[in-house]
Amino acid sequence: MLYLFAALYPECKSLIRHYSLKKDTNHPRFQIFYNEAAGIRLILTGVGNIKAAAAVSSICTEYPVGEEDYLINIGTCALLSDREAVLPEGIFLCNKITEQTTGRTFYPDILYRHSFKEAEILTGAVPFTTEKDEVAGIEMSVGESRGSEAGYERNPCRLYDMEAAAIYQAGAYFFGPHRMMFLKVVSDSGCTDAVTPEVVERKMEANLDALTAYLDFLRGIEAPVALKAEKEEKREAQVRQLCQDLHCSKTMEATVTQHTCYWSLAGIDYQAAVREFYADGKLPCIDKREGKRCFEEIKRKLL
Amino acid sequence: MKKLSENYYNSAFSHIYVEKAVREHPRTKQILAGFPKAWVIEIDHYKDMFCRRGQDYGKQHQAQSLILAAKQGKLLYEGAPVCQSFGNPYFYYTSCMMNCIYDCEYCYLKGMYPSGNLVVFVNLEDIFDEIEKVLREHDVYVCVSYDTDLMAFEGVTGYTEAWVQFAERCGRENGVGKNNLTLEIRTKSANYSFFQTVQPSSHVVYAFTLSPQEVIDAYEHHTPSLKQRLAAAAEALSRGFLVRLCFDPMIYCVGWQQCYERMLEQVAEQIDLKQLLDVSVGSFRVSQDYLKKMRKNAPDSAVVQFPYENDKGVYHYPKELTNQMESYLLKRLKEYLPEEKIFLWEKEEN
Ligand code: SF4
Repeated sequence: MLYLFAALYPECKSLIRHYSLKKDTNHPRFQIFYNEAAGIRLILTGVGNIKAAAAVSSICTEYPVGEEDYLINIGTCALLSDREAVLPEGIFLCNKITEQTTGRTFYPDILYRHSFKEAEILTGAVPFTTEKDEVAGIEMSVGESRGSEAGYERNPCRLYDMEAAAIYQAGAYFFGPHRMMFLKVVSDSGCTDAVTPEVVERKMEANLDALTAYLDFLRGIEAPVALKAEKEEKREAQVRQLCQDLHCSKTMEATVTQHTCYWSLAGIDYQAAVREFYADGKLPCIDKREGKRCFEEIKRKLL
Repeated sequence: MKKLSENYYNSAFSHIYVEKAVREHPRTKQILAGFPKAWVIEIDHYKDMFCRRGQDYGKQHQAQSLILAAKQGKLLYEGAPVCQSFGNPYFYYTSCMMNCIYDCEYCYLKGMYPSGNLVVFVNLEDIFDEIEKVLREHDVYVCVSYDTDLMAFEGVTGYTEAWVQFAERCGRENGVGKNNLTLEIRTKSANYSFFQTVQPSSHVVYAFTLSPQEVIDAYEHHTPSLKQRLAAAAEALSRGFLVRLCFDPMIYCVGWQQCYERMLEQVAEQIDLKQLLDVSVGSFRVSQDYLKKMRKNAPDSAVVQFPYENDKGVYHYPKELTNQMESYLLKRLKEYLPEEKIFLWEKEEN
């Protein structure tokens, strides 16, 4: 499942349409849109740290997060640079998030391939404007650009939003750093008046193809995992039966499980051996003692 | 086996994290110059990146990031009980790198570190200073490639050569009759050309870890073949380097005896064993805390999921199997080498 968190409706209107997400009218606190078949749940958090953290915490508690799930923060942001700077196009994947109020930094893993530019983002408590006094302490300089004289790429620009750091911190209770992605589209460089819902919607719509291509890519990664889980369940059921027929104690059950796990991974056909024991009438055993003896014999045969 | 998800990942070192404090360090600049396409991200402290909660060691290893940092605090450690000391009373190890570019499934680093990313400490000279301090007191034997494979990353860091130069300098400055520094550089690499460019040193032992090709294929991912490792060891021997062969860890597999027999035949074919400094033998063992984590991280690895026995917090093969494997190899090695050149790690414990 992909859990998408966005602050505002215009930031994800095109996504809702693209994935035919339905509104979950049962949810009292946050607006949720979902499509179970597509494996997507989109949550509107509202603007700001507290709302964002509350939404992540609430949703991830309500829908228990699985090992194959991802948290993706999608939204617009400001560019930390001079007022005249030309706004960069495209989507940015954030590789460093700094919480302005505490100075703490967070690093989502960038393990998977992507076609975006990368950037670091500063998360503040109030909207970023270029009226200097309003956001104290923000370093205005743009980072070194790609292909700088050192010959390697540094983050080409710094971004500013009001949710990423909170979403990371709340998300870290449920997701590892390799399962959290922060995707941002630049909407302004500090002139918040110009950022109307229409502008935001247009910006996001313009990047819809790249965004959905990435989301589909993430959904594809976990397909083999689901197949494996099915196979594993079947094996576990067989082992449970064997343990029952061996009259295993809790400790012995752990031993049997570890052995069968190893045998199947090492390509040792323990099931054929076990079948022989059943055929010879050695299994099921009549009691714990005989079970122990029987398992020792199986072990001797296979190790 | 090729993993299904392999092509989803970024290439290794597509991202390099650099501590602010070492941004201008010459080694940082030199290493970064080797990765012109990497994203370079500034960090305050390597632990901000390396010690995050909930990291996936295995996945990170598929797309390893590099972290360049300064090592602080303790720089030299006394050898752990599960390590082979080769009879050296002052046995230390040091960590100028953490993690490895190779991917051995049974590697204890997978249980020891919270992250699969590679850390390189650029302040090598601080470690040298620390060793020199201890060297004033007594002899020092240091394993410099314990929590990594230093030689495998030589092309990027040049650290092995820096260590050799340091050992040589210490040897010259201390002079005859003074305290002696010996380094052990353990590797699974086959850095053939290294031995053609660097001078042999009586202070440096090159320890090649060998496994049967079947074990290499199954569990030692991205490492050179047995043949390649032996070719590098033979080149080192022919040029007068001190060479040790480590049959440690011995790894169990179905038909282990034939596998180890074939391996020995190949060793004898490519190497004049009489020229070796010594050899070490030891079956796989790992601390229970590390194995617990390794099992969680690698549910599909046969070598990790083997039903080991726990003996006072250390997991190893069942006693009978341990004895069979080790005594077989010892017996065969004694046909080539005098007993005093063969070290069995358990022997020292008794
Ligand atoms: S070569 Fe050594 S350090 Fe590297 S992965 Fe293998 S066992 Fe670990």
